[in-house]
Amino acid sequence: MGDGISGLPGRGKGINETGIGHPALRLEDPPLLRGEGSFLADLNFPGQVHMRVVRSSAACGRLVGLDLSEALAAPGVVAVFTGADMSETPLIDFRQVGYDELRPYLQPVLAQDSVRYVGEPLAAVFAVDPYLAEDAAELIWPEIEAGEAVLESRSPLAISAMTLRADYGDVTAAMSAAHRVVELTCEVGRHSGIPLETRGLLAKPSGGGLEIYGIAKVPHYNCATLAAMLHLPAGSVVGREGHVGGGFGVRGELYPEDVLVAWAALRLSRPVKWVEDRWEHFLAANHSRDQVYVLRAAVDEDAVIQAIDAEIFHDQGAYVRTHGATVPSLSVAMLPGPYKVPSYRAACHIRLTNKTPAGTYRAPGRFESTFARERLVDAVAVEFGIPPAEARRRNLIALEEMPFDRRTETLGTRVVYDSGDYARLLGRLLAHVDYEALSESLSQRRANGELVGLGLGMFVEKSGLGPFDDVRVTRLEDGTVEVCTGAASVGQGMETVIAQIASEVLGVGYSSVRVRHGQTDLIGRGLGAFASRVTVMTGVAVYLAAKRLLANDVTGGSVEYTFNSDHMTYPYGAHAAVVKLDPGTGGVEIERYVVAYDVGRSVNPMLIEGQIVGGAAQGIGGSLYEEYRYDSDGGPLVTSFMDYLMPTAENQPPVEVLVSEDAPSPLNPLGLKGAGEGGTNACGAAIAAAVDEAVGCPGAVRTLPLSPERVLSLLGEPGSAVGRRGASRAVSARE
Amino acid sequence: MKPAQFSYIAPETVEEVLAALAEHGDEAKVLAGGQSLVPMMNFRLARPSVIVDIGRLAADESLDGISVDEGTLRIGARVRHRQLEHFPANGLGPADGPLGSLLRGLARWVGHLPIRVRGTFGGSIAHADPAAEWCIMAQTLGAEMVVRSSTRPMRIVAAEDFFETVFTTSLEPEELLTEVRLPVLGPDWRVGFCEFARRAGDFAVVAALTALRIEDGSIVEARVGAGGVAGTPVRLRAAEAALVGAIPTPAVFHEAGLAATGEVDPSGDIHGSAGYRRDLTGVMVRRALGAESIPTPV
Ligand SMILES: Cc1cc2nc3c(=O)[nH]c(=O)nc-3n(C[C@H](O)[C@H](O)[C@H](O)COP(=O)(O)OP(=O)(O)OC[C@H]3O[C@@H](n4cnc5c(N)ncnc54)[C@H](O)[C@@H]3O)c2cc1C
Repeated sequence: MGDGISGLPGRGKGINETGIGHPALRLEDPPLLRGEGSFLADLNFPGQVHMRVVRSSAACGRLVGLDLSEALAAPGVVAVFTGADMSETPLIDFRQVGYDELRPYLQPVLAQDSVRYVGEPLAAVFAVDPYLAEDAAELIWPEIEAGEAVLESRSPLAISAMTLRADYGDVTAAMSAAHRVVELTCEVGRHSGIPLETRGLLAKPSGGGLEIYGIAKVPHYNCATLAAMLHLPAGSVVGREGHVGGGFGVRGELYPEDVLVAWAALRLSRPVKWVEDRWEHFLAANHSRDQVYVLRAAVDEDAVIQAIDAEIFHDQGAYVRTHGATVPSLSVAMLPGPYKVPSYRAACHIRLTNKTPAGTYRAPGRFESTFARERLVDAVAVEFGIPPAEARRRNLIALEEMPFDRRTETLGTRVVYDSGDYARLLGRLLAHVDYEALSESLSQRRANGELVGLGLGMFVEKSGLGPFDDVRVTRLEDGTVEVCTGAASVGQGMETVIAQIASEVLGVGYSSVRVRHGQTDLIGRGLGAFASRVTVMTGVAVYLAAKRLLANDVTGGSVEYTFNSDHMTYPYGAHAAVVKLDPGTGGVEIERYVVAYDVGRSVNPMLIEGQIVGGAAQGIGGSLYEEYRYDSDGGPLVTSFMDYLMPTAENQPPVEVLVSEDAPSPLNPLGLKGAGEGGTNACGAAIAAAVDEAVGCPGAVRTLPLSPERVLSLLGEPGSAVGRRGASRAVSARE
Repeated sequence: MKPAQFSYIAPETVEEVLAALAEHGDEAKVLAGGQSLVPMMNFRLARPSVIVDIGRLAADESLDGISVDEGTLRIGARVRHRQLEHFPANGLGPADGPLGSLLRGLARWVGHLPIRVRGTFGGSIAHADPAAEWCIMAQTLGAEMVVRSSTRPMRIVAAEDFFETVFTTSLEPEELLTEVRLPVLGPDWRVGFCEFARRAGDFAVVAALTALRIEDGSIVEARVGAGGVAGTPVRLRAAEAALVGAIPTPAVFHEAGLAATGEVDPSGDIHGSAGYRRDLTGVMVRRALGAESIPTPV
């Protein structure tokens, strides 16, 4: 199964064998359901050794000594390597959105003479079994002269690496001409993607190069980069993607541990295996979010926002990793969202602290900026005494303005919204929940003493990042079809979607389409799976290749095709949340959650719904539960699932999903847009607004996540529903 | 997250268990359901060099039984959470009453289904998490722990002497907890419970358990306990004092809640600051007192 082969042939009777638009069952599922999945931890090769990483227990300091003698003498130990062994290995470079200003902060594979976060790799032990490797790693006590940890991006001690800017229109003039200026500061806590399968890699020496297993997300890039870093000929590092238990932006980037595994396999001439444990994942895999927004809006007398002036602080953590400035860049470019905002100025300061380095996590830069922007729009609604939905209607970009040049740039492209009817989508959402009636019934319940509220959040997503995607579509002798792509599967259902598109054109059942991906020796180049790009880029490439194959009309024929695209596509959505607060505990119960999302054209509605519901679970997690916290020395307070609370099935409300196809993308022949991140994007915004209304104190929520304690303190404020009832400070009195 | 090296023995009789514990002393740990010990070993927070598995012992009335004897309920240490959850209504016969509903109701609050299927009542008591439901119950109702070893005669330890601090009891390394005894509560007792956890199945941030004996409409005896507010579960004497002699009304429960808030001195952690836990204690006590029945999670 390491080959990423669809579950051939195996679909029973009565199951749709279909093309675009059908809720076809996932081709990926049969082996997974039968327990025949092949994840990294399942693989073993003769002679392999296991790696255990020795990590810094100090957040900041000088690495004075590492005594390896006991570890080297421990049973089963084959080798121990430190930064000194790897001083020739380059730093891990940016994969995207790199800037020279950030180059000094790239992470070394092993710490050289300083450490910058708890969890930073200092040494690696290689032993014949993972237990012995862990035993030996315990025998290494790094000697570190501790320094003072910096834990706040706004602290004057935080390294200011660079400031990203956006600027269009005349913000200064708009501010002085404004009828009102609305100001807001808000922040999103630090949390990140927690795939069920932790990271891991297995490198096996092979013919002067390496075969790499456990590779995910961006196999071609990672293999090429490893080859370059290890001075191997291009193409001699071959990636073999197997099943991947979730990515979410986190899994699959090139991390220090990955380079260590590959480097050690060459050095030791043996297969080297590493499976991250959960403790390591919390300490060492990319963190995300953790941004502060200081916003000002110039608003005219009709409650129309004429300008936004934004200052953003981005806590990058200890180093800049493969994502470079991706997250802050998206924050800056996407902050104005679905609104006209004729003038805009933003400065985003990328600050380094002594926390685990940060990267992308589902809806990077958008979960955060949507929260901030929607808080701002809610504040405008309050300022003008109009309903939140009305404040949005007055500011939305109109259908006639499409395509709309946002006049910002990110990921190497100019942001130009390709299509969208935002007001119509909002109307659809409001009609679904019966906005007037719902608002009325909630205000009735509030009058009866219940702490309930409704909140809205709107956003523009982005998807289908280019610049290219190659595919090879082959009709085999037996009538089945093979698709080879450089895209990757992180469990999102791409095999099914790609097979449906091929099936649509070629008229074969989708289960007769075998999709091969993540094998770097099968196709020359490939960009992998991120930024909701696969359905759009690979999907369209397959569509066009299949059309050509059909035109050629040869059996056994094969077509290679490259789809190029300089612009992203822009799906959009709106969330609504109804919450109920417990006045005694501050607990937040989500009574109702609705996501409306326009995907342009839906290849598989069932998978889109799955993406949205799963995405919403993660957005709800970041809004209410998940948070990486530190003590004052930079010691992580979150090292297990006892401390990092993810929503479980019992906490996840049923999500009502409204998928529409109002605005197909004009940028590709199928009209496709992506669906990976819209379920996450506006959770913080909608839940915050709902809690605001429940608390009875507009604009109360400024910080995510909304822990019960935080909610209780909002309820203690004088302006709140509870405060107004004149209850005493003692919580006991609050019912 | 791989445990340090250990050796494993699975005795067939209680005597062999006791002998093994006596031989290995504090190098050894009893393995019951493994739902607390195994995670701690994987984190290397516990590193026993010998594991004495009591799961392979032949069935044993003292270790596995639930029975009533002269006003005392005996619960064997190996009884699983799930057995208590599904203990039949009236399973204790005439003695079932408030205590029976408390046992069945509280069991639902212990972790998640797979944990309840494996984890044991005695394991929870011996593990002594200050927020564990069974520990709160033992402390509040004044349970007695029956403890055996091969070196000393059997001893019976009162809950208040048993729980020392977080994960620490007065059990000696060579001792095995075999049974827990609880006073049967007659029909004139009214029990209540309230717990707040961030998510269903998590350990409580704060939980409170209350038991009131009511005669002629007024409270003649009160037991109030809480977990999550100190190193052990605690009896809340001021709250009890606020109740005894009073007629059970919302106003009285409110006063008892305030008293509870006033008498605890918790420390904070990532799930709640000291002040939050203090306030929460009052809320939990008040709600437990007002509860019509033992609530179910979610
Ligand atoms: C995700 C999760 C959530 C949980 N949530 C809760 C919860 O909400 N509430 C709750 O109360 N518990 C919770 N637990 C813990 C669970 O209830 C455990 O079952 C219990 O704490 C320990 O029982 P055990 O039988 O598994 O004991 P083990 O894990 O086997 O042992 C625990 C300790 O007790 C000792 N021990 C066990 N039996 C004896 C004995 N007879 N004599 C002497 N020493 C003994 C062991 O040596 C060890 O030190 C949770 C556990 C998990 C993994």
